[in-house]
Parts: sequence; structure tokens; C-alpha cells
Amino acid sequence: MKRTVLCGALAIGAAMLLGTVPSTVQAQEDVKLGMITSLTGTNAVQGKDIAEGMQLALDRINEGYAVPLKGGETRQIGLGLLGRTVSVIVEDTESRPQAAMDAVRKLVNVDNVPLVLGEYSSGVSLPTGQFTNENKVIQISIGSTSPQLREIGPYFFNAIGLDNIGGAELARLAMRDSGATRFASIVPNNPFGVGMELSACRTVEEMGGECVNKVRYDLEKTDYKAELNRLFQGDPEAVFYTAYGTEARLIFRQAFELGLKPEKGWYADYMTMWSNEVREIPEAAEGVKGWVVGVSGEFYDKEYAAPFEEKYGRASATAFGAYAYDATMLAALAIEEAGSTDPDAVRQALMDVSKTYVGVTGDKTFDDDGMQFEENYEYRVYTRAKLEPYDFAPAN
Amino acid sequence: MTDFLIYLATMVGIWGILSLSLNLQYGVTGLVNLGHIVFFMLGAYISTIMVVLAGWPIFLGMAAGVVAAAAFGALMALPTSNLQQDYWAISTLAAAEIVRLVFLNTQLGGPYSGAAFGMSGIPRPLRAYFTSGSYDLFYMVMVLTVLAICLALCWWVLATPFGRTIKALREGDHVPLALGKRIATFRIRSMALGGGIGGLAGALFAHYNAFISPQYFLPLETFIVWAMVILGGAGNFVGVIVGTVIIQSIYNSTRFLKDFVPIDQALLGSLRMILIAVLIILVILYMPKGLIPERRRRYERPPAAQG
Repeated sequence: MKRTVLCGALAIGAAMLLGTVPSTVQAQEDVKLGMITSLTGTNAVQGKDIAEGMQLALDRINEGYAVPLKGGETRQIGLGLLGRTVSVIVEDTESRPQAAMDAVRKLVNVDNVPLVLGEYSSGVSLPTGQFTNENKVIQISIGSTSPQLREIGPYFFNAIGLDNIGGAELARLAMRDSGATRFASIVPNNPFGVGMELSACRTVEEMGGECVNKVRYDLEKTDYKAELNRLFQGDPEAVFYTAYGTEARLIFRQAFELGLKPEKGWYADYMTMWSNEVREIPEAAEGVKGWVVGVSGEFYDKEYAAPFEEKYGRASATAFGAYAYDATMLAALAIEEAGSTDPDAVRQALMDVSKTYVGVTGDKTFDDDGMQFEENYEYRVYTRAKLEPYDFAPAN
Repeated sequence: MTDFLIYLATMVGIWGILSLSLNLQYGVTGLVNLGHIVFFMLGAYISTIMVVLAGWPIFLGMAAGVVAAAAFGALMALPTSNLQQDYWAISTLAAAEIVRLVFLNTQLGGPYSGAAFGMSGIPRPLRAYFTSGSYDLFYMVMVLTVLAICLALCWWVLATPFGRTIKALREGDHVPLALGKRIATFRIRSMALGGGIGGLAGALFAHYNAFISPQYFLPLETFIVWAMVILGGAGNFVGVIVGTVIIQSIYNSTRFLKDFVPIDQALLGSLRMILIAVLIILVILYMPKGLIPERRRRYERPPAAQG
């Protein structure tokens, strides 16, 4: 009996391993692209949104679509690409770099995709990017913002502006708006958060101010009082704030309860990451200023938000699905422009098409390193449980 | 496909070395180490630091990683070697997290290197002598050779008086104590040896993956090594390598399931963990000593001839 059960279990395992062989034959006709995204684990919400944003673009490519270009022009794309249907093989990274490496190796070595979309986390995009670049496979990262990504190499692109743009933007807004010169910063201790801190504080120093405290906190803690007390030591006039929803709610609430409020206010990046979660105790975040990435406005609604809602029956959960949409569209335009999936031709074509493509997340022009020249930020202030547009008047 | 299988074999080799080292500590010496990933992490980080920042040759850097991990194993055991098993287990978990937090908060090199960013662009040994495709093959052969050497080393250790003493230690302190052995010393030496082998796995991993960050060394990874050891058969070195092959196969083969069965991608990740858990439960229920149980040697004398 024991042996039977065990043999059965082993047989299932073996069958699954053997099952790997015929997969290369499947869907031979399609233009196959790959995507790595976190469908499970800590970044699952963003990861699923990214997969859905990509799917919206993919449907349009396969059904035929007039892609808006600068100057009011459009470019007809589809049905499919190069006369073939396009399919995207989505692999789960489990929000773990090791599982992501397994995933990207499968896409490149087994499925032989010429192009990989993803990932959200910089900690995943870095090692996978090194691998794809070495193997001359193009990768377009979706939500990763660590400045290290710039160094990866010629086959690596990024659909979102890096931290150095975002952090500098936040610092400029804060200094001009509040007139403060003594800042503190609180960020999650991951590549994204630390990148924001480094860039914001460097900009502050360049503009004659200083960051008196830099606090990096661990995610998923149940108490941030110690971090908050450290943050307010030395009486900073204003605070740079980066947080995901769950932590943001707790940090704002505890700061509110402790009566800790910077004299010249909080300045936050990616405010949509927490604006829903903080709605339970809106008074704790009342008056927080900062920016959201430029995913709003009429064009965004018409081109992305409304069709997304129609397709999935609900609004997009995060801002990152829209970046995945843009990355997918750019990839499609580049393959069409290159007339093949040859990585060198597509790489050059990506540079060219990015100059004319109008993204739902704004201008998508790549610089020489394949990174975004600029990012579209819109200023917001959190008031009465809502993010309202903020027209700041410089303090000096 | 061949490239992917080569990659899988390399990962099996690296994790196999790591599970051998845990087996030496747990399967043979009976030390429940819940922070085993710390050796892997130290091997990876110290080797990277020595090579990337200090400019050491790669193989010397790897050796430094091994020495650092072994030294940490001894250090970890020094104050705790007299603790009972459950207290010991907690202290190992804490030690591993402390080391990870140190690396998470230490900038190494430029502003975007070390700390949460991790370290990228780690050089690969003898890379210039191979093409991109043949290099992976070379690395696989190297890793599997190291695995074989480690396996031989473990077998040799078991055959020595030291090996027999740590085995006796696993069954309880009384026998080694009665024989006048200083149990603390043996625990420390076993930790150092297991640590060194774990460090070697880490160094091999860092120079293969070319990127490391604290995210690679979360406590979850320790439990994956544990799954390999329990499944394969604690105490049996070949068993734990079989366990490693099975767990790695489950991890990677389930990726291909969706090509045949229409299944939600998000389900697959969870399904994978369920499959591993079910396998472990089955093994514990029906084969509590693992798939390939340790062979017990009997030291009794043959019964004296009657009459």
C-alpha cells in the first residue's frame, strides 16, 4: 500500500516533468511573446493588473486597432503581427526572484520568445534583465524604478520613469511649495523605496536643503511607532513619504494618534498606492500633498480606463496595468516596424516607435539606455478622503 | 529545451549541496537548524564582496565565502551549543534573520549597490573561455562535480570516529557523554562543517546567477531545503539529493501544466505549494524516514553458537 501511494505520487511528478517536452510544438503559427508577472505573493495585486492591462492591448492587436500617434495621427495595427496571431505566455514569478529566474529561463530557453514583458519589482527585473540581455532577448520592464536598471544593457527597456525622476520631482514640489529646507524621509526598505529616498534627498541637497532623517521600514509590520519617533527627531519641517496601501494606513494612523505632524506637511509619491486604504481614517492623511503618475485625464479614460472596465467589469486596481498596456503596444509597434522578431531589428524599432507613440501613461520616448526620458506626474492633495488636483503656488 | 534542462540540473546541484549540508547538521547530528539559509547567504555575499569590491580572484572569493560560512556556523553554535533542541532551533532562525537584516541595511559599493538593491553584475568564473551556450554546460558540470565531491566528503566524515560520535549525539546526549565526549565541541564542529558546505552552495549560486539580494534569502528558502531533506530521507545523503531533484522538478514542471490543462495561472503557484505539502504529508504518514531511509548499521555481535 505504502509503495503504491508513493509510486503514484512519483509517477505524477515524473509525468509532469516529461510533459515539458511537447510544449515547443504548440502554437507554432503564433508570434509568441512572454510576460513575467507576480500572480501570487506580495505583489499579486499589481501583478494581476499588469497581466490584465497587457491582455487588453493584446486583444486590440489581434482584432486590429488604430494606435494613436503624436500629432493626432494613427497607425493601423493587426490583425495580429506579421500576418500571424500574437500570443503572450504569462509566467508567474510568485514575487520571488528565484521563481522569476525559473520563469524567464523557461520563456527564453523553452518557448524561445524574442521579447519578455515585465516585471513590476526591481528586485526581479534586475536579475531577469541581466539574463535576457545576455541572451539577446528584449525585455521591457513594467513597474520597476530602481536606477540600477539603466546599467543592464542594450536589450533592456523600461516603460516607467526611474526613481531618479520621481524622487527629484517630489523634492522640487516639496521645496517650492512649502519653502522648507529641513526634510525627513520615510520609505519601505526595498529597491523602490530606497531609490526614492536617495533621489529626493540628493535633489534637496542640490537645492540647498538637507535630509535630517532617513527612515527605511520593513513591510508587513504591525507597529511603526518606533520608526515614526525616529522620523521626527531633529524636528524636520516636512516629510517625504513613500508607502504601499497597508503600511500607509497604519503609518498615517499611528502618526495621527501620536500627534506627529510635520510643520510644513507631508509630501508623498504614488499617492494612488494608498488613497483607497486611507479612506477609513481620512483625517490622518488630510492635507498630504504629492504626485500621482499621469494616468488620468480624458485620453486615459477613453483609451484605457473605460475599455478596461468594459472588459473586466471593474476599474483597474492599480496604475501599473496601464504601463503594461503601453509596453505591449510599443512591443507590437516595434515588431510591425521591424518586420520581424529579430532582437536587433526590434531594439532599433523600439527606439523609433517610442518617439511617436502616445501612451495611455503619457510620453513613452526611450533614451539611449532604453529608459524613459520623462514621466508624467500630476500634483494632488488628499482632502476629505479624496485625491484632488493641486495647483501649487510657490512659497517664495 | 536543452538549455532549460541544463539550468535545472545546475540548480538541482546547487540546492543539492545545500541540502547535503543541512543533512549533515540535522540528519546526522540532530541539530534542528531553522536558519540554514544563512550559510547560503554568507557564502554568496562574502564571495561577491571579496570578488566585486576587494578585487580577489573568483575562486579565492568563493573560498572566502566558504570560510566565512563555516566560521559563522561555529560562532552560531558557540553560545547555544548546550541548548535543548527547540531552543536551539529558535536561536538559529533568529541568527539567520539578523545576518539578512545586516545585509539589507548595508550599502556595499556605490549608492545603488548592496542594501535593498542587492548586488548585480557578479562576474562568472572562466566566462571568457566559453560561448554563452556552452558556459551553462560548463557550469553545470562544475556544480555537479562539486556536488559529487561534497557527497564523497559527507560519506567519508560518517566513516570517521567524528562521524560516529555526531551520529550518537543525534540519538541523545547520554551515550557520547558516557563515552567522555564533549558534546558542545562536536556540535560546533558539525555546524562549522555543514556551514562551510552550505557556504559553498551560496558562492556557486552567486557567481551563476550574477545577482544577489536579501530577497533571495528569506526564511521561506530554509523551509524549502527542509522539504528536500525530509522528503528524501534525513540521514541518507543520496536520499536528500533525490529529495532535491523531486522538489525542484515540482517547482519547475508545474509551469508546463498550463500548456496542457486550461488552468488559471494564479492557481498554479498555490497548487505547487499544495503538491509539495501533500507529498510531504504522504511521505511522513507512509514512509516517516523519507523516500530513501537511512540504512541503520547494526553493531551487535552475531549470536554465539549454541552448544
